[in-house]
Amino acid sequence: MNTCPRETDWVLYATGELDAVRAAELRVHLASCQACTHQVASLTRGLAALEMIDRDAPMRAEAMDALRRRLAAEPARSQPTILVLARRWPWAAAASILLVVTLAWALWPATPTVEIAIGSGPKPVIHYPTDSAIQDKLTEMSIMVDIMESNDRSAVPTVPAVAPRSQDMDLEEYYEYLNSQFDT
Amino acid sequence: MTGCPNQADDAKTLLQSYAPRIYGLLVRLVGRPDVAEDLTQETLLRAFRSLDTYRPQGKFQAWIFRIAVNLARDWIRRRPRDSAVSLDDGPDPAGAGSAVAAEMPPDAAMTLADRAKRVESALVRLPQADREVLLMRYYGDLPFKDIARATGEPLGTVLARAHRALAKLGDLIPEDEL
Repeated sequence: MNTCPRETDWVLYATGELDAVRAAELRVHLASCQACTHQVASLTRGLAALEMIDRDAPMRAEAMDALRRRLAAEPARSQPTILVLARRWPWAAAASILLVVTLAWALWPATPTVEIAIGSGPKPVIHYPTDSAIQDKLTEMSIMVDIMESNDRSAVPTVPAVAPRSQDMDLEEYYEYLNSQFDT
Repeated sequence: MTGCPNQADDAKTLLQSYAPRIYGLLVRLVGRPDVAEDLTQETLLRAFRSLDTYRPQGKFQAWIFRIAVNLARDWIRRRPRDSAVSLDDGPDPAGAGSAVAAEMPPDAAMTLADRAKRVESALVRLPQADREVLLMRYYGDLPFKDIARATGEPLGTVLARAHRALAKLGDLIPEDEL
């Protein structure tokens, strides 16, 4: 069975990018594996070959002059302060955005309910829910959640059995009938 | 960062000092001194214009090299068919090995200069993607995971390229010399 580390591990080893623990493991392997020792030697020679060439290369004087001229022509520039601050404190910026969105959501007027009259009657009547109505609804939902969390089935109101609408009953009558069943 | 004129001048001077290193990278990437000069200017201008986006926790040099490599990649993608890399046919644009060779006895310097020239030639003959990985690692001091991010390749692919390229360059040096 071949237990030699992968080639890619040896690249990281040769270039010193492995963590100390893994590097120590590879050193132990190297002590007993000629093939891997040969491989690492080859990579090390490759790195040494790269060291033979100069990293810097002189540009022609004309090209350097052109670079200086072009850089000199560049105006000093600065970013809008808000972007600079956002870059410096990204978490604070994210928290601020979240706060603004939350406040906007909380303070925005609720979507009105629209009652559309059946047939050709008067124009739709728009009812904006009042603050107290919203508060009541939230309290009601909170109570329901408490009941569900307590798993107390006896506290959950039962849904009354209702009869389907008969052919001779118009829609308005049927709504009244339904309301009367749920009110009881 | 560059809003104040004095700071802007300092930044320009600093950027100019990177020109030989950037040019050294680019000339080996694109293989044409004239193009490498243009791209060096473009790199440093772009670096100046984007100084505000530089994040101090990263290496400044690596950041500039990433701009240079991106420009070189763009050029290579758009280059005309007859603009293939051909450094080994022309003069040594990077002055290979000259700085080290200058400090050595004539015979040894000749050998070193010859070998450096051979390394340059071998480097240029590497497949473009392999050469790019090696140059980014060697010139930009970029860790391989950053190179993977810059090139959009998986880390394993980048490491395999580096392995192949280093092994080829390693063949140029006799085993008993290390």
